[in-house]
Amino acid sequence: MKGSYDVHVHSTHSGGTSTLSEMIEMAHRLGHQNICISDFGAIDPSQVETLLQECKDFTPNVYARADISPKTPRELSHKLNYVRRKVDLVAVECSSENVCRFASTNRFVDILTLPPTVKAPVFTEIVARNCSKNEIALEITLIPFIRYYGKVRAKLLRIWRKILSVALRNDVMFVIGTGALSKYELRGSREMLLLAKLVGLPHGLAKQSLLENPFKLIERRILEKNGKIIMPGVRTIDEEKD
Amino acid sequence: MVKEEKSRYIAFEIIIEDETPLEVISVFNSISRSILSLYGEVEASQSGIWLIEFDAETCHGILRCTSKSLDKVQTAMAIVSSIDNRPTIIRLLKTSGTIRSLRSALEQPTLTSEDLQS
Repeated sequence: MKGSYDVHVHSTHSGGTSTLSEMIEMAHRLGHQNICISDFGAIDPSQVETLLQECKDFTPNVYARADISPKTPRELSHKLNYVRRKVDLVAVECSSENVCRFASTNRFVDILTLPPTVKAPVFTEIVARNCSKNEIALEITLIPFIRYYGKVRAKLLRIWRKILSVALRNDVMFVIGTGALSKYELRGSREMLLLAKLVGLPHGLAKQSLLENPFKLIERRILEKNGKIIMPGVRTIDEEKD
Repeated sequence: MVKEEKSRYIAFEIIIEDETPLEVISVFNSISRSILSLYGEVEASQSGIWLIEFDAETCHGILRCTSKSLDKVQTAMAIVSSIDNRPTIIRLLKTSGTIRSLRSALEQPTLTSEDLQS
């Protein structure tokens, strides 16, 4: 589980243009040790195990991530019931402040993502404080910065600087993902660091977001899946192993 | 006497969709266009980029830039998404102050997470 992570990769199962094996192969070529496939919000949760078994023998470790894009908090809690405990990471796209605020207090959510068309006020001080308290990470999705240029990219950078200033003030955890829909949209770990710095993340935090934070989130979820976490803050310890 | 600005050399690899060989001028143009678009004319003029060599068969190359603009040039290279309308990834292999050490990096292009952590 050590090494660099790309926490946001799509394949043909979730609207991407490259197959799962092509994405994994390219991630390996680019030097990633771990990738999180975001197909699991789009497919039936019962297929998760089958798809993960397919990826078992690949060199970069593959983790299951579910992307949820709810319009209301009620829809979010409904969808969370379907995917929780079945995937390694749960990411919620915050289209509105209500959803963002609800997601930031829910213990089954690991990552908050903001759509490219986001407006800065969605990620408020309260949301940032909740994220920091509940150890929910904010994802910096890099693909809009690669895909767009000119005025659109300038606007995106401006909005993200505002979001980052709120997040940094409140010690929010970050993760970095490309959000790649094709294998040519993936980037290596060095390039991801540079792009995160372009958005405004300090170098040390960018490294942490790429190497350590995804590991923390996945480890927490795996412990929970294995029944080691009874409730928030209470964990069973195997004396011999732990 | 004005001191000459130090140069840095960046070894890179281009991963491109089809196997038709790339032209050197297309590679240089897309990198310089990316710097121009991301940082503007002033920064582009100060970056002093020059494509020292590019092997169209292996898609490996060495780019020179000024040491002050190293980070900006690398970021602009990372953001290049197509060359000649073909989807592309520019993978940064190593940076150095001399070309000689880069040549050895081109012989062993695999970047590990230890490189990243160092």
